Amino acid sequence: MNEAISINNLTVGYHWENGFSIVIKDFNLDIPNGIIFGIAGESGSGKSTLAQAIYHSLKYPGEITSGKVIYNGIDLLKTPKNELRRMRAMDLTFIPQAAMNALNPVKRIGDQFNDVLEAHGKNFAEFQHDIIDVLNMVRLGSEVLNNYPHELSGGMRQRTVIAMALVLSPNLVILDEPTTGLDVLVEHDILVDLKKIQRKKQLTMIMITHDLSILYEISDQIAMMYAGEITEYGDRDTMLMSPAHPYNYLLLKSIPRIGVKKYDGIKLTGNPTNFNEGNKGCQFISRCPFKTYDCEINHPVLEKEKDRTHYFRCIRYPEWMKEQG
Amino acid sequence: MIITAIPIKYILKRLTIFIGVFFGALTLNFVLPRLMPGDPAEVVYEDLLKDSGGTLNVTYLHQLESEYGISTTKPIWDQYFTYLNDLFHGNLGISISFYPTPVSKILEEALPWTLFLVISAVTISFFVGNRLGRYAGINRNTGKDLAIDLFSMFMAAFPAFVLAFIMLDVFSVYGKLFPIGGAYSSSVNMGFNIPFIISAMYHAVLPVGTIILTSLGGWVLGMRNNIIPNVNSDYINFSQNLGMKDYQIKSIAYRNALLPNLTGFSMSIGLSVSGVIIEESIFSYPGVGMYMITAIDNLDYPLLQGIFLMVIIAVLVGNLIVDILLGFLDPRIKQEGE
Repeated sequence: MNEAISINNLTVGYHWENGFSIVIKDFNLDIPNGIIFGIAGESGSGKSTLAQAIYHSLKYPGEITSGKVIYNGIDLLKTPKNELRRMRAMDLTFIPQAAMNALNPVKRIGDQFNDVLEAHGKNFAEFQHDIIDVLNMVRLGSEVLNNYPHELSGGMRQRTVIAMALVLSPNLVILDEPTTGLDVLVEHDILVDLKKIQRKKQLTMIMITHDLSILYEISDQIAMMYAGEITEYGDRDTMLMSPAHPYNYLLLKSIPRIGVKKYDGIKLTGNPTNFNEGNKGCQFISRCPFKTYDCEINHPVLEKEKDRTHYFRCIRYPEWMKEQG
Repeated sequence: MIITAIPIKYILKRLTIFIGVFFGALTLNFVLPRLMPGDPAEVVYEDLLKDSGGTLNVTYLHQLESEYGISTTKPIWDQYFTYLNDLFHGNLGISISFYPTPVSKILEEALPWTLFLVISAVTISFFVGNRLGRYAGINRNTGKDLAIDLFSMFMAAFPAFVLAFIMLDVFSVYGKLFPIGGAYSSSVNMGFNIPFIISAMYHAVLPVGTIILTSLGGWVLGMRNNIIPNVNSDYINFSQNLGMKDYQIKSIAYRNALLPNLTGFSMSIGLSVSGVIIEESIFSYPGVGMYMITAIDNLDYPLLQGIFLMVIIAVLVGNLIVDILLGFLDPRIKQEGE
């Protein structure tokens, strides 16, 4: 087994005033060790929910109704609370969305590092070198330890959050849109640093984002999510060069390129849809320009392409490719 | 591990503001009685005139005026400097209703009792209230939370004077557990000795208890409402994601939620000096409040002025202390002040 984490039949939903609505249904995914695995999706596709479900940190009204998340042979969803608490930051870690506000405003960064170490029974003096190491890795100096969060810039705060999450050397890192709210240059720097750290420490990173350019920049493997399902996943180059699902194909087509004449072939239209239980066919059907009658009655399963790591959920592949404008 | 530097700049700025506001308040305290019709010297003179059957000499009025520092002949700025000079020598004038006792003497006797009452009651109420609020907020939407909230709302809405009468009736008139009035038993010698301290504390139980019960609700509800958004904040989520222990998470949420309540604490210490009048008069407690009622009844300007001065000082000092404390607890405030 060289999976860092494997997700089996995961079903997650939210309680609303009128009952319970499923956001992710029967989700299966094996993420190999030591790579950056990107998960992309539009708003509402369930990607943040997925990240929290994997980390088992989903709060009410969210609820995981079934499934398993196997990490190192144990099911994270069935691990006792205290055991899970001890694993966090030690074995696996989570770098949140809105990392700008993730630091306690009334404590110095050094004291916050100390809190993390104290929670895991570690000594600050003993770990001083590790802290400075990890800060250097995200290109911060040890002087930030004396600062309060409001004295740092947004990018520095984000780097601090990353350093804090990595200080106890976990080997699985879940990043939920880690660069939200930062400008493109800072974002790029942080991503480059993250990739360097990942390569150096042989980490497994699960990067969740809506930003395709980020994913294609740093990921080794990429999965596309639509309405709580994976539509397609595979190696970065495969996903980029030969998309098998119309959704991925149309998304790639929608990226504007400087110097290339205006694209006027088939476009991705409509708005993202949520997981629809009443829909027996393909979840993407309402926006798919290549749909046929078959797509309405058969729910496509995730198929594997021969000889490469490439899975897709489309019954019309590769026929639809002939229809493209 | 990391030494917190003392924010000298911030403290100096707070002190400057304190002194500025203090002088402003002193000036107002000087001007206001002079804007009112009549002056204390006339009030006393009229009284004495009536008592004596109209045989008083007018020079007596001038003598009274000079005693009160009010003069129709001296210019106002001269009076102001006389007033300030008197003030810094502890001379607050002579009370009308307790003529010829100096105001400073009355305050000297009354103020310690009021401060004892207010500081003990507000401090206990603040700590108990915040703890209860924290407990309710962390156990949000449970039976315990509901019970605490209902109790707090009921107590916050309960009129202080009604509660004072109920306490007095139940515990001293019928229950005979606590004394009906006074600040200490007549059988002990006033001073720093154990029987006196015990007696003073025993006499304070009912008034302090009443103030605590009526002010507790505000702290509880304030703390509960502050801690709930804190428990769902990004930094609490991140702390949980880093596997922090329960007590660490609660203390992070508590410290952040405490900051708005601390501001309220300073205000209430100051305002309570004048705010416990009701309790003091019902429990016949010899504090400033009782004298204030007498002063109002008798148009006793000097005494009122003296009491207002005490209230001003209490509010300002309370604010100064909390401002400085907040500078240490919330680094963002310190930076704004610099």
